Amino acid sequence: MTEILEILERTEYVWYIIIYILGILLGVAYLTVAERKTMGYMQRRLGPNAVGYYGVLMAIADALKLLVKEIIIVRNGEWVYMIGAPLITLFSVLLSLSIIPLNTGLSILENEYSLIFLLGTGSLGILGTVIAGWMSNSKYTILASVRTTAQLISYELILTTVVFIIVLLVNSLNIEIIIDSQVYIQYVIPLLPLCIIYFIGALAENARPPFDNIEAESELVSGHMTELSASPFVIFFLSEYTSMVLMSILTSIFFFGGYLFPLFDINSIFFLNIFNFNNLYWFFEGFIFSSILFIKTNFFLFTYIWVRASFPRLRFDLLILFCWYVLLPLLFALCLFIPCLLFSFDSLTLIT
Amino acid sequence: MFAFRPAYRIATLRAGSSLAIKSCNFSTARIALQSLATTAGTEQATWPSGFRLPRPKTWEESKEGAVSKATKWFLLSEMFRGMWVVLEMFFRAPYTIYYPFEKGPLSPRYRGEHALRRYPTGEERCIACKLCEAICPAQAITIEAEERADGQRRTYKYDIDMTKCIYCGYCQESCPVDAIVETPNIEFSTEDHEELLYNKEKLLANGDKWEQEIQYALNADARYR
Repeated sequence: MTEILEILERTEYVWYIIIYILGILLGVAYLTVAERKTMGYMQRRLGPNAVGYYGVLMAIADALKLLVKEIIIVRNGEWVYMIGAPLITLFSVLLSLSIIPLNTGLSILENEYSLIFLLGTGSLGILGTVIAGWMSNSKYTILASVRTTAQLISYELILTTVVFIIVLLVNSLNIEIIIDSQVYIQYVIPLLPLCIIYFIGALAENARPPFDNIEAESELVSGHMTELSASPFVIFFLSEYTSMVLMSILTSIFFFGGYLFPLFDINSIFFLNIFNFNNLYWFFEGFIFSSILFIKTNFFLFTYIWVRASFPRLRFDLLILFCWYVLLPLLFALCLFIPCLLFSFDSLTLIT
Repeated sequence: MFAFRPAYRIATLRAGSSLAIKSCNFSTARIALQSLATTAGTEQATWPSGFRLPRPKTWEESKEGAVSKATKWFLLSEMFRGMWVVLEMFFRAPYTIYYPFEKGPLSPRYRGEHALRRYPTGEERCIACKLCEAICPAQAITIEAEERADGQRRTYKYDIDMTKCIYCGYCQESCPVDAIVETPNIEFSTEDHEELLYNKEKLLANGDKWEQEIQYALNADARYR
């Protein structure tokens, strides 16, 4: 018994990562079903309701169907890269998710420069789409990957600028300090325009409608994924939805206080005192705070689906011009205004 | 002043018309009724109110201030109004019919699978007049007839190719003895083509099976025939 416990303790991080990744992937699988159900009800129809009660087993049925399918590789395509590219995209998103704290100190990669890590791994995802488009050996996929890259890089600029302004406010690159500095006021109130811009940028970065020109399946043939089939396609699909989850988590962390909620302050949860700081205490504390993050994240995921059900797709040139002519000038104005405001209140701590 | 006269006339007619039309927007019935009420059948063209959006107001014409406009633009007020409509739909009941368990209403005149009917005595109605074969626009019906042992003229072959049939209903309209009818049955899909080449036995079996429904449909529709 003690030997098993020792082995478990030595391999603690492996178990942690396995549980984390399984949880994320299962959640993402159910997100696809939730999207279909939600959009169904928004369009006054039912969505999937046949597999299992209320369609709850639809995620498993879909995953089985897609994984059992035959993998077809284009004859002149580079198969290593066609299979590897989706993995690059998926792993970049999973790496980004590893810095997300579920509670104070409850993240896989906990360090002082987690935002830099986040921006770096977030940019790696583009690489997969470029490789997949290029190595499929088809001019349409190359065109699609060029289009994808243009859109993703443009909107990543916006997200990075918003993060930069928040870093100016917080004076730290640690994501937990960003959350902890929102104990008294969540940043959505002083930074409402930034929040709106960040949400729009996140929509475009995830290629969600109305900015889904990357894979506009009703007009173009699924973009850079045209030549992919079965599990490579599934992994792209999965990474898309995982990045949706990531972006929702980041929106709730940057603007809505992450796992903090005014009514559920750690000092106000008195009933936890009965556990007297044993493992059960830490379990319940982590459970309560990560549930708060979970609820906030779910709200943004719902909003993504809601926006998708509401608006038609933008034309591609309008999409790019919206980034460079509308959002970016606004952001640069805010980039000047907010540091000036901070400086005038003597809190721009970058200049000491 | 002369140029404004038609519009003025429409306005007065609308205001003074005693026929109040209450209906949904964009329903065609409303257009027809309103044109009658307001123009009394003349060639004066009208359109329902709200059919065409008014020209958007220019900066000088609108009373709204610049700050208000900018606020609306930056806070995406039009976007949120659209999203609110979608959210209202989200909380309403879906229109879906759970098909194999629930079925939508069918008209008594519905033209589905064919059947050959019998008289209450059990005698088949068809007298092999071949009017249905003659009128069938898709030429899906083939009839061969001969004299039966008791001297009556009956078919020995009555085939309908259900894959040729266009379900126009001319066969049941032309039949003088109401022998060939189209039942309200719509669920007769098969796995291969041969099963859809109906012969006389199949059609008579359909008639025996669907007699009650055929009778209900005929009774419901009898007033209008």
